[in-house]
Amino acid sequence: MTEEIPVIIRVMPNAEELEVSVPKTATPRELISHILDAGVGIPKTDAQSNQIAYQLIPKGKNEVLKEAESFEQGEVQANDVILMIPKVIAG
Amino acid sequence: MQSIKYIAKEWDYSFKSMNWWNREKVKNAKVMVVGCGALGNEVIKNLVFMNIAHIVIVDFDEIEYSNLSRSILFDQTNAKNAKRKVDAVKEKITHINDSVHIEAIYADIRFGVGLSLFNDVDVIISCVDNRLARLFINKYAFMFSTPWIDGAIENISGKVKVYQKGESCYECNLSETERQDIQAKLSCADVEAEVHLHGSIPTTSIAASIIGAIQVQEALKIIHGYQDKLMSTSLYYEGLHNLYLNYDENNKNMDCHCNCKDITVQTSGLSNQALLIDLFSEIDTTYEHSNPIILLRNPFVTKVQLVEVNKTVNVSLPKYRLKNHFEETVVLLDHTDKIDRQFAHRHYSLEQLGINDCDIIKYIGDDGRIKFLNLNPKS
Repeated sequence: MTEEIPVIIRVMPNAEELEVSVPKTATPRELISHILDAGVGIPKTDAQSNQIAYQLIPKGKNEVLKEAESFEQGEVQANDVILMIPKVIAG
Repeated sequence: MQSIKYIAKEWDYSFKSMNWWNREKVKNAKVMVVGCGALGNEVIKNLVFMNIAHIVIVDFDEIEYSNLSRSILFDQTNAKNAKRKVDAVKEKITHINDSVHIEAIYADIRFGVGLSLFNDVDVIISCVDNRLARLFINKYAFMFSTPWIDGAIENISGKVKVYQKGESCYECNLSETERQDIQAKLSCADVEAEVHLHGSIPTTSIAASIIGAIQVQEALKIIHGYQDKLMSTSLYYEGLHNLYLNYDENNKNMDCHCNCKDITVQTSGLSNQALLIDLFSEIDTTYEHSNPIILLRNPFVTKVQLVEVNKTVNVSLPKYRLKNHFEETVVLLDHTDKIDRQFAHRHYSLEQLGINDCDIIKYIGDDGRIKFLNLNPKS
């Protein structure tokens, strides 16, 4: 059985917090996709129908987790707060 | 009683006491701002206040009433007249500080701007609203090793990132979602239809002021040569929760064009008003390539199908100008982006072929290698 890490995902810009347990082998890409499909109200597209891309950044670490690397490789620890930030595109 | 006289001082009189300020460098600086929306307004305003000598502004849009709540350089009359954003900005700026020279280009950065501009400016400030334009700026800024500063806003949040060749690259840091979104937009390449974006992304003058100010601050560092003081990380700002987050996202993809060496550009005596046959002659006589193949950046279309009426029509237009000629959706039936001496439209001017003023023409020489040729400005 794959070991899981409990983390808090803080979704910006509204700072909603989601408590999730992520498998160590899962990737940020998979988790973001899972959150967007979970029906918790996080938008997938903006007002102009552009797909919104998100990044995961552990609070205090200030480095984007590589989307294809596992949370274990990203050295994510239990109870980490991870910011989920939209890559804004409007000007 | 002593009379009080108004003494007109120089615009940058008070800047002289700032120890980092170098008047000569600012006086000789040239900055390109792409996009004149909320962010572009703030950036241009700050550049003009800082007395940047030469500013090139690029935008293809007209002013709407909804723009007024976050655009300091537009007014209600502009909106009523649906004035071009670049023209309104130029007019307003001239009233504020007439020592600044503004070059206004009403065009889509991806199609209507000569590439030599990317080489001529000290820094490019991106205030665009889409990924394709950013990708384009990234590609051509790096072709000439020109740094560019990206800004983006939404609601009362935003992001700033400084991109420099060899240090950081927009394309290398695209996520899979972004690549899919870009690919979906590019895959419609055969269908030349005006894309009307419904709805608008909520932005505020607050986010535009903050992000635009940081963009100009970084541009000033580049102009002054303070490369070591530039932001090395991305900055995400979110106003509701007072979040200022600096984070690293300097991924490097070794296959990306950002790893390319700097190019050498040949000089042409021609402008885009010259005929294609004259260009072939010049390449032959000056650079000794008798059978060059010109690689068009904008495909040239000779036959389209009008989808709604199911009719085939012969045309002779660059692809990006099709939308000016047809209101309905058209499918490209015949087009090319490679032309040689036998090309049927060799008596067309370069402008008719979609080559812009001050453009850089890419061609394959007789030795099979790619060359770049810089056109003169049209007189």
